[in-house]
Amino acid sequence: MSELAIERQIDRSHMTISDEVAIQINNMNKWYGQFHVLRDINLTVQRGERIVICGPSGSGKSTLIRCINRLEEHQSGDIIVDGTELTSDLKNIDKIRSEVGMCFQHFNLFPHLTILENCTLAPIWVRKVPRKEAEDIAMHYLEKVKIPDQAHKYPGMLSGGQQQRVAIARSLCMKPRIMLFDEPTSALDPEMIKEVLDTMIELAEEGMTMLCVTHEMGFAQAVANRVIFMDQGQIIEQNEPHAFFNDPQSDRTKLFLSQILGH
Amino acid sequence: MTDTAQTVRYVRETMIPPSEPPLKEQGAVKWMRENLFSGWKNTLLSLVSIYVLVKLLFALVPWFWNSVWTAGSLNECRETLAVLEGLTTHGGACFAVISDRWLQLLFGFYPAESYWRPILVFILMFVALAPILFSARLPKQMLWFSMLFPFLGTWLLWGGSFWVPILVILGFVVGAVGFKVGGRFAGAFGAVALGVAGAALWWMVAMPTINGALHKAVALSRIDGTKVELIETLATNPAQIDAIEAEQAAVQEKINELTAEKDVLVVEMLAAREAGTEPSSDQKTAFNAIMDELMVERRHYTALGFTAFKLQQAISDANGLLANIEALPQWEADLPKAIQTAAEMDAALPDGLHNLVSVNQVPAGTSPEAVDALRAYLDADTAVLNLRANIETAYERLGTLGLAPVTSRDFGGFMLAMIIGVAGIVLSLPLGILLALARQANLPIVKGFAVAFIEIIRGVPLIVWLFTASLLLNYFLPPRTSFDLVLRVVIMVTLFAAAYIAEVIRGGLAALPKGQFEAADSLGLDYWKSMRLIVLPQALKISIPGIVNTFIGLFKDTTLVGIIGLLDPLNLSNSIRAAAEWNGVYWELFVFIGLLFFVSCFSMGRYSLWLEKKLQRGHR
Amino acid sequence: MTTLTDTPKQGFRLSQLIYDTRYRSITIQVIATVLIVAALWWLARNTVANLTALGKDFTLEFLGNRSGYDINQRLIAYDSNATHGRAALVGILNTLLVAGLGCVLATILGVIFGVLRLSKNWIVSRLAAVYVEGFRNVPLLLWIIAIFAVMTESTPSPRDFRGENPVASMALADNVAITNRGAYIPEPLFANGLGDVEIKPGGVFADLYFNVSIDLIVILLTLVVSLLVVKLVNTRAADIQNATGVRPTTWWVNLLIIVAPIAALLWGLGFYLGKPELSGFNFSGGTHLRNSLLALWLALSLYTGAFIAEIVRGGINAVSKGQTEAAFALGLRPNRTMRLVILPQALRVIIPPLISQFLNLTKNSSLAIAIGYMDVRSTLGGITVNQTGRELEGILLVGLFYLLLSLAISTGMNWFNDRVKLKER
Repeated sequence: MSELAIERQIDRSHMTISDEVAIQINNMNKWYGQFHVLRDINLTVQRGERIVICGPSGSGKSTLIRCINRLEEHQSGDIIVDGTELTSDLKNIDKIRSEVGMCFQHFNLFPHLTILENCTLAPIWVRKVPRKEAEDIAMHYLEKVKIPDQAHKYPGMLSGGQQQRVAIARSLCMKPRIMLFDEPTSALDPEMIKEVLDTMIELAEEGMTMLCVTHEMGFAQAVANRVIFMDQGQIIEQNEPHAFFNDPQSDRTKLFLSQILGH
Repeated sequence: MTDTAQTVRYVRETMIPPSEPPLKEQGAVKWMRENLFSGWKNTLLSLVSIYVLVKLLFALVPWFWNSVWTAGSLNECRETLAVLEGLTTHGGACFAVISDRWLQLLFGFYPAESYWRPILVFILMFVALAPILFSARLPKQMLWFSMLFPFLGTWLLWGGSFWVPILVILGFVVGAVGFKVGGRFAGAFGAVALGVAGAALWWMVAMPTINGALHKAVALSRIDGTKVELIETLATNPAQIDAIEAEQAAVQEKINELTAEKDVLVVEMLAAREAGTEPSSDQKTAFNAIMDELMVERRHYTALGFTAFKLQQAISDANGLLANIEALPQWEADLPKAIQTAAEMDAALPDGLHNLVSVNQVPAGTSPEAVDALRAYLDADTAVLNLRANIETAYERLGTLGLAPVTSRDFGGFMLAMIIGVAGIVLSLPLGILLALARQANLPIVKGFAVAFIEIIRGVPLIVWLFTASLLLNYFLPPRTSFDLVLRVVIMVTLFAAAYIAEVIRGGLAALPKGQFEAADSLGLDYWKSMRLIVLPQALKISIPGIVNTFIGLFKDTTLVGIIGLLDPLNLSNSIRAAAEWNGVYWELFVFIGLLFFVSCFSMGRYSLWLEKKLQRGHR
Repeated sequence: MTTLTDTPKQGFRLSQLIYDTRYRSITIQVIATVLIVAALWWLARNTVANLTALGKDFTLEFLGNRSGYDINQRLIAYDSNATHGRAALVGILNTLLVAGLGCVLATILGVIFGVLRLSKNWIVSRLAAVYVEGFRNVPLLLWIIAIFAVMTESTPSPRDFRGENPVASMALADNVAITNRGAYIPEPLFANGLGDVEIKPGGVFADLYFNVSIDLIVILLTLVVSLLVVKLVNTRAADIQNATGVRPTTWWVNLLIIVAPIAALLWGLGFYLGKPELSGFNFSGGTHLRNSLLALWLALSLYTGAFIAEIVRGGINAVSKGQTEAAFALGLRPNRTMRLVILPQALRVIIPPLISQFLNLTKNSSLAIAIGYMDVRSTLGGITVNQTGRELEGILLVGLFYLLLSLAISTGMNWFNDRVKLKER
């Protein structure tokens, strides 16, 4: 297990899972040329769920969540996000993208804009929020991720952990109903992982629907209500965290868990 | 640590102070050892280099050192060299040609009383460039001035009424409004269509009408005053010219005296040299004094001639304008009649002959009568066009409120090189950006067109494109349109530069991490917004060094416009050599022109290197 | 918001053309194509209208007419009775000649000065920097005119070589005469030469006739064969090195294989050098290199060489210092380090910009017009256009020639570049 144990007491009072479906994926397939990256994926995410997706590298887990906001195009099957089907219709794509927030492994902050401008950009240009209001929202979320004092600096002046928290705040400024995390802590130094995970936990405590590709098993145990294991483009096993870690069923899962937890 | 028997306990009690390195390891000796004589190969190289350097300096230094700066012609230069230094033709430079003609090399035949205009534009250019080149230290509001500068600069250089640049800018405003409105009702395509159509309609229909109306209004409001002034000019100027010519004659007399005096002195001094003695210092002082005085008188003479020329020009201008004023009522009365005649003739033409612009175009088998009718109609049509042009020109000349217009023909020298270079780069930027985006786009046909354009432009030398501009451009435009050569060259250079700029920007786009595009997408920004807000600001910044380098190349290439007859510095040097007094001056002109180019290109190159280093350091 | 519906599968709607990513790209491309084709059609229509208005048509027949002008610099037989097409061919060959010569000399200069600029020797690197910056930052046209002026203004005229006590004398043991009309150098001649073959194609290519010297073909063939043998020897040497670890010394074998057959052949053909000699007011015999060719060649090479020097310097600098240190640490000597470690990596950086410099040089050779060198732009795009009034056709053909040449050079060099890259992996 990761060195980082999640020590704090987690407030689960808001983490209720409703019956409402947030994401519905039916028989989804994707190929890169001849290579079949995602095979027959079926996944239903209820509103309020916190899902951790793990698996060996190249198993298609990043591709899966990138399909959800169409950074990658799927070739067959349906993806329905918040009641909107993800087709090649630009209007739907734009709508889904503004409802779904995403954090990347390398943060992808815009280096030519200040932290505040990074956060207000999308609300102003996509949501058409007045600048003043957008700045207020941005400051609110920057306070939430505990870096309001850096608002007028440029991303290059911040540490990796701070940048990732800004990236989270930037997504939150769009008031998304779903958050996707693509290995948010893999590019960080060990001492910075905790500050990012804390932010994510807080988000979970507020009831955000989250899909998170990560190798932080401590985070999975503490926060997730479901862990999905993928290999070779398929969902091999999914279960609630306690059962997943203590009683894996598939051999592949056992092997994977023994490799990442075994030392 | 192992405790063997040999280990002897040791504790240092006094510290060793730092000392000087040995003599051969410090100062100039060390530097020379390391940098010049570090091995036999290196020593040999150094000696060869020093030999070459000394040879070069011995050839060049005396030439510069003995240069003559005050002389009215190459012969006087040689005389001066011979009598003062006892040198032959090649013993010293004759930079007198530069002190005589440097203004011409800088400005071409731009009117001297308006030199302040290009100079002001040059200074304003730096103000406009500053927020782009040093973006970190200057407020973003200055960018507004950068956007205004092209219009302001064009107006200052070419002159004309002050409202013209404003009308042109209004076209962009109309386009922007059209874009907004179209975007609201018909999406992105509607926005572009309405924006372009609005702006085009403004520039092609509304602007000429408004411009003409304004000129006419101004002209009519002051026509009586103008008439009085012109008559006044006609009355007073001839007398002034006579006075000036008289003064000129006096100055010429003085010049002749001085020349004679100088000639006597030269003969004396040369005789002394012949006899093997150095001329006395009194003689030399006297010679210098005479030369100085001679130059002063000559300048006076030229200045007088210039004034007389201006007065003469004012007379012919006044004559022309007065004739225009006389003729205007007649022209305006004739115009409706001429239009009607032409329309009737057009209506009477047989089918299939309308819309032709020349009798050469008639289809085979047309009857001679029809051809004659066509010829008559074409003549009538030309008459209408001429009348219109006459009226328009007359009102424009009478109603100009602003700066005196200067024709492109008079542009020349480094000013022309700068104008073509800067205009080429500035105008090519939008097109270059579009081409780069098209080349990056995931649209095979659009990409294909962009690649074809870029490769065709880059595959053919600039000189061929310039000949295309001077010989062929008129073929490609609708019949009867023609505009001046400078403008045609600027259009061609813009297309040429756009292909190169596109490649530079493509490099900038490729250098951006893919994550930037993805982050913009994931926030829900559409293509144009993510380009405008995220991608281009970063890609353009990375591209600035490349753009500056393209500009340097283009600036040097502006010398090619001389080959198609424009007055670039090199072509001007030919025309200076064509003057009798400077026939045979090569090196001095080359050195001056080369130095000016070197200084500007070298400093721009250094800036771009500096920026490149800064961007490398500051890049994440 | 959450109206969870199964979106009904609808038929095609018009709005999909704009909002559906699948059709949107097609829509954009169709619109772009229509606009561009419309623009091209507009240009073509204007051109046709303007041409007919001037009473002209579009034809290439003028290429078959008598040219009526002379070309002083030519590689193939030509006189004023030949056709415009033949004149164009002479021009094309002249362009290729100066471009080829220029590329070779520019590369040599560029490599030398690029390496010198990196030299630890302060004065050498400074001098190289002065050369590079001086040539790079001054317009090429100025260099061409200035070098031409040096050659015509400050060299003796052939007359100065005459008389008992001549003002000027020939250089290199009376073999080379440098005059204001150009340089006269010895020409290779054969006492028992094998003569020429005439190649005379017919039809449209009737203008492409030329003579090929059999001597030259034989010499080239011998050289090729020698080189193939040398390659064979080296392969064998490499095999021995791979097998035993010791590489046999082959340089003298190689030298012998190259020199001996050629020497024997030249002796057999009765090779000698025809010296230029003063006859009357001019030189005769020998090869006459005109000032226009020399000046253009020198200026192009010096100018492009400065750019290549920067590329070479940048390429070598791009290979990190760590590579040199690693090679030294493995015990490779500086020469081997350069050849085995630095150069293969630097070449990958150097070759692409080098290609574009060759292209630039070729295109810049069109500045020949400034000093009267008869390249394709001066013949086909210059005098022919002026004489026949066919500016549209003439300039189009010249542009097409440069375009094809550029494409050919870049394709060829890219092919070579790919090979260099593959060798590395």
